[in-house]
Amino acid sequence: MHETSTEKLNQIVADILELDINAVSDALTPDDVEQWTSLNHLRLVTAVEEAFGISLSMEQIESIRSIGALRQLVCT
Amino acid sequence: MTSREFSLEDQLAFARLSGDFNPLHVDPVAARRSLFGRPVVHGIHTLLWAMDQWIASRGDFVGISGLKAVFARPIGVGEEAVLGMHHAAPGEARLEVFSGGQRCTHIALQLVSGQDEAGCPVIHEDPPRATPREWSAEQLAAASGALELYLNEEGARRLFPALAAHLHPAQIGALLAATRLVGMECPGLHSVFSELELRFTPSGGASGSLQYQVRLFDPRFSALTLNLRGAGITGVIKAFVRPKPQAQPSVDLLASRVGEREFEGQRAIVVGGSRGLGEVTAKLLAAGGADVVLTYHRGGDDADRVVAEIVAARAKASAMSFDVLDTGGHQTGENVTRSDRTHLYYFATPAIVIGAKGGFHPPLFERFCRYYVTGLANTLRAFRQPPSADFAVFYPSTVFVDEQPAGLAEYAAAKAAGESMCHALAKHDKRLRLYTPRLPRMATDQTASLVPVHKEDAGPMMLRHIREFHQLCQNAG
Repeated sequence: MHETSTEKLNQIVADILELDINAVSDALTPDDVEQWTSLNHLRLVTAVEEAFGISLSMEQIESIRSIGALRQLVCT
Repeated sequence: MTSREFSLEDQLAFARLSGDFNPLHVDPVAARRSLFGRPVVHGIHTLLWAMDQWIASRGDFVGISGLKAVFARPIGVGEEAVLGMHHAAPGEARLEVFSGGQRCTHIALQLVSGQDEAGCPVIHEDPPRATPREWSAEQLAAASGALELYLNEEGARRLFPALAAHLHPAQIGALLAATRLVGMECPGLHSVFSELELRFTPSGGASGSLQYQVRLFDPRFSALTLNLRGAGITGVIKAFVRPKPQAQPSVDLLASRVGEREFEGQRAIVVGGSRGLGEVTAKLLAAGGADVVLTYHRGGDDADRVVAEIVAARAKASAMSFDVLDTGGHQTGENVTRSDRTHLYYFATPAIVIGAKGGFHPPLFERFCRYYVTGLANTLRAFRQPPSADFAVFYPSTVFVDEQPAGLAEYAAAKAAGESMCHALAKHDKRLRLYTPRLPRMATDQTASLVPVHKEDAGPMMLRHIREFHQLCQNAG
């Protein structure tokens, strides 16, 4: 994954989940992040789809249980 | 920090000012069946209050050129809202509103140093009262229209004195129109307002309306993005269509799984039987030959619907009003006739509000305990007559006591406390039978969500547990 794509995804995550950009890591899960609500999960998905020009299936969306899982979907 | 509670009267005053009478905000009976389980404050009402407080605290406020607001979590009517204010950078202000220890709303204002004359004229009165619209998915994807801007200045001064004194009427009118658009027009009845972004430009114009168009509709989540345009105003709104109240299986469908006399002999009282798992239980018991009385607190219409369905299927049921929190014994006179019950099924619950992850909010725990512990004790006293009679209690606990999902610590702890009370009572009273199954998530109003989540089928699951309970009681003799 290009570095710029990594930074772009990290910025989206930081903005929507209201995290400091340096706190964004692949290990983060909804249990760890107060602002990772179901509403923000949808906002995260739609923001990532728009930014990267991709479309995720419902199965893929339900499989996003960490930032790492999200990053894998964006990469593939 | 500034804090307040928004009462139902406050909500009705704002609804008159804005024209947004969506039942989610002003009708406790309807709102209890919504995604949030209780009436919630309009996002724009919270926004305007926050801005009003911030403007009142500043001596140098002149105006705004734009704003962005995210309504991340609902604030319940009657729940404390706490405002935090930050002056982020020159030309910007950031406001946050918290409730229950969690951030619910955040607002970014773009400030100006000179007041421009915004162009969109307003109609100086309350908007006319309307009925919220309902749309199909196909209609929503192509929806467009226009809203007039209304501003009853006296009403605005009463609710938001500092805001009304400093913000241009067209800007206030646009913000009020935004909530009327989402709550009454598009998406309308089953709406959730998620985000708002507005820009105000000093361009004039004769048009007094705010035009909207759905730019994007995502059927996966029923999510909409709307573009706004008026004289001197451009913007974007993001909203969702929330799930409708959850319908439960019919009596006819449930009866096909139950023996006609399987539960004969039970004289059951189903507390909270007007909807959800209580409704399913009432139908299964009646289909199996039990004499069923179901109770409701505010859902009288729902209770009548369930009873009518059961009676139409030639089974026996009636409904009565009962408040599990009323300790004074001031129930209806019908209580006197309800001393003949043998089995209690207890489904009373408040709205199951998600708490902070990794934290524990004692007021939320206490609210759950009022229903799951104290309410159950009150109900036992009311229906176990005489107090030493043979009696059986079905107390539905939850798998969350074992699983401990994030944000549900208070709920799980209160359910566990209810289990403990049940076991303590049964230990010292051989004529009391208790059954406390830890039930999985099933499709009810309380488990509705914007993101699909796996849920067990309520019919077969409740039937399995009702049968186990019935067998337990029969074995005990």
